[in-house]
Amino acid sequence: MKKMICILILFCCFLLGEGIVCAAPIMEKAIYSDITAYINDIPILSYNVDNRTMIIAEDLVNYGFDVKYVEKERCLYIDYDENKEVTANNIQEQKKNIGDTAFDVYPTDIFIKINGITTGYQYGASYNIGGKMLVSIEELDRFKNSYIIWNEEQRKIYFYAVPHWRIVANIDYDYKKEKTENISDFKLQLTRNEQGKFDVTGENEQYLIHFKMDWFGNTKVRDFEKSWFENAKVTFDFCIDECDMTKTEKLIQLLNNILTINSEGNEVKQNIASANEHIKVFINGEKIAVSVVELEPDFERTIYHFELDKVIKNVEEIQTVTIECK
Amino acid sequence: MKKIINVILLCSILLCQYGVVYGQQSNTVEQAYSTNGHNIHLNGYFAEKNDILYYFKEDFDTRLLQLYQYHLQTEKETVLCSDYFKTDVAPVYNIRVCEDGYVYFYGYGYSTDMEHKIGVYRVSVNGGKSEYCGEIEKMVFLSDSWTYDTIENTFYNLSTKQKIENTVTECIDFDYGITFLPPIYEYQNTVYICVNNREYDEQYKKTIQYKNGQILENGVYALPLYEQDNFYQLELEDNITYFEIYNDNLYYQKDNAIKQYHLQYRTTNIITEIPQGHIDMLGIYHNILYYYHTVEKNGKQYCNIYGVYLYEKQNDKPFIVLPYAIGSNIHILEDVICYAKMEGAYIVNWKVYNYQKGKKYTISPY
Repeated sequence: MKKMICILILFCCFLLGEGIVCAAPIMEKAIYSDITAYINDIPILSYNVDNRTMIIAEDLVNYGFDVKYVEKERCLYIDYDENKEVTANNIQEQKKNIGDTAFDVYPTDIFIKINGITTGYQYGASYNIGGKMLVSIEELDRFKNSYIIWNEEQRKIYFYAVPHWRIVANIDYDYKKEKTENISDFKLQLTRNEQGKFDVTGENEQYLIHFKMDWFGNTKVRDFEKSWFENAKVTFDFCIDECDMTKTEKLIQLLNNILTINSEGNEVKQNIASANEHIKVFINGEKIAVSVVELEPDFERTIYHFELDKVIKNVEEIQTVTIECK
Repeated sequence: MKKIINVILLCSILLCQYGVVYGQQSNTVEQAYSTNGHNIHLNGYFAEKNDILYYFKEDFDTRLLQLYQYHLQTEKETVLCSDYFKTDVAPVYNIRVCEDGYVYFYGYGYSTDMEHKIGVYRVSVNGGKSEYCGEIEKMVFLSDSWTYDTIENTFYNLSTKQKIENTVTECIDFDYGITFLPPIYEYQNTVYICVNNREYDEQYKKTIQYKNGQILENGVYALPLYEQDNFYQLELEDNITYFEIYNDNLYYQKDNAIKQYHLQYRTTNIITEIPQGHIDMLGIYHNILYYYHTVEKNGKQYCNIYGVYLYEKQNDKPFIVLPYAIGSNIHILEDVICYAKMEGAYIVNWKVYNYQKGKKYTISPY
């Protein structure tokens, strides 16, 4: 009987022991690294956890972010507010020995939502240090128009939030306007409606796919896909689908003849006058000059980019846009 | 007087003959090969011969392959051979149209009435059933005429069916089996072998040895098939890894220059040199050398395919053949440039640009 009791006690101890082991938090180490992290060019304290550059979420409050914890959801919300005052311009450089442990890091059931998107660098779990949360700087790219730039040579990682607005033309592609004609021109008129969106009327606009007008603020971002906003000017672009190539042959010929940047990436300045002769842009009735026209072919479509000689930071200023090409 | 007339007549005849001969020499047009080393390195998806393009299409449901042909003149696509091939060994096809009138390719026969073997198959350019030709190691293509048997160490002419033993070197090991490493091509019955023993890939290094066991040093060697005693190393000023031979010249790329080495005169000229960006030599057809150039400007990548005249217009600058050459697996053939749209590792679409006509087609790989 004694033996049985001993075995039972031993078995219970074993079970309990295992339970304790299971419940014990898996501890990570936050290590001082040689990488410097920046939020919009301002340095922010960062650590290496599991080979990722992590920052303290609560620190982001001083960099133009709203950081809000909701207890009943066990969730930390991080949102970016480009109008918020940035107070973190005088941050002290960390006194650190690279490779040393800065502090221990523990997993938590609190999760983080960045721009409404749940994140967490490992299995959906977030990590905390003394009641503060750690977030990977790379995960901040969930914000619209934000970019993470890694400079390996300088061991620097940058987060940039670029001020931006976009007008998307709601062109009716519902075959109400058929694409039967061989076209050589188009006209597009965008008018702001009561809902703040833009109604579209025009001629041959059904041939223009994905028309949009953008403005991006200045940034140091240099990226293959996103190099269009480096001049901080208003731009617009549209595509012509390959299936419409035959019908739009003359229009394509016209557009290809006014390219101010050729396929080798060289400027063709003499085409600027010609571009302005064939493309007429009016914003709120004011004529705006075209400064750049470039073609960017995709596999199935041809994209035409236009840059205008105009800066409009506030999209609310725009009531009407008219673009004529002939 | 008669003598003078005779002399004048003789001179005229001589001059005329010289003129004719001279004219013939300057207008020499090489017979274009159906594919080239660059295309083969990209798995040889396409080959072209006599205005017909050959390629495989995959059945979307069964994932089996069939050989198709596309007539560039009529712009019509038809099945060349009803046999099915498995995709297991794909996407490496190494399609080539040889002088014996057959389309050769690497595959795995799958139709019930076929031998289910992996290796080289062939189909007549006129269509019909496919035939299994042998294992890839026994049929390494050196040109549209000659193959090399890496087991027997023999060369074989597909048209004349002549077999010639390699008396100079031990078996040349084509490391990865199907792609040409090292580059080895036949030109006018001479086999040119590029030896490039790289130091950094010791574990993959495959040396080529003379019959006496001595290792061939880095360089390009010429092995005349009918006079193998005249085996020699070319006096190139650069260490190279890839080349093309065209009209008695060997063309190769060194850094951002494309150079020409005359096989008889042993002189080296620079054909073109690009100060900015990166170039890749693609191939040579009808006295024009084609290359791919990519350069980054203002944070954007600009890619174009250029051509440069090799003879007639010596002073001409390179000209753009295909602007905005955005795509993968760029094959350049006699009349067309084929390039793919990739999604991950898969080719989802082919674009074919007929640079003679300036027309673009889309060829679905399915």
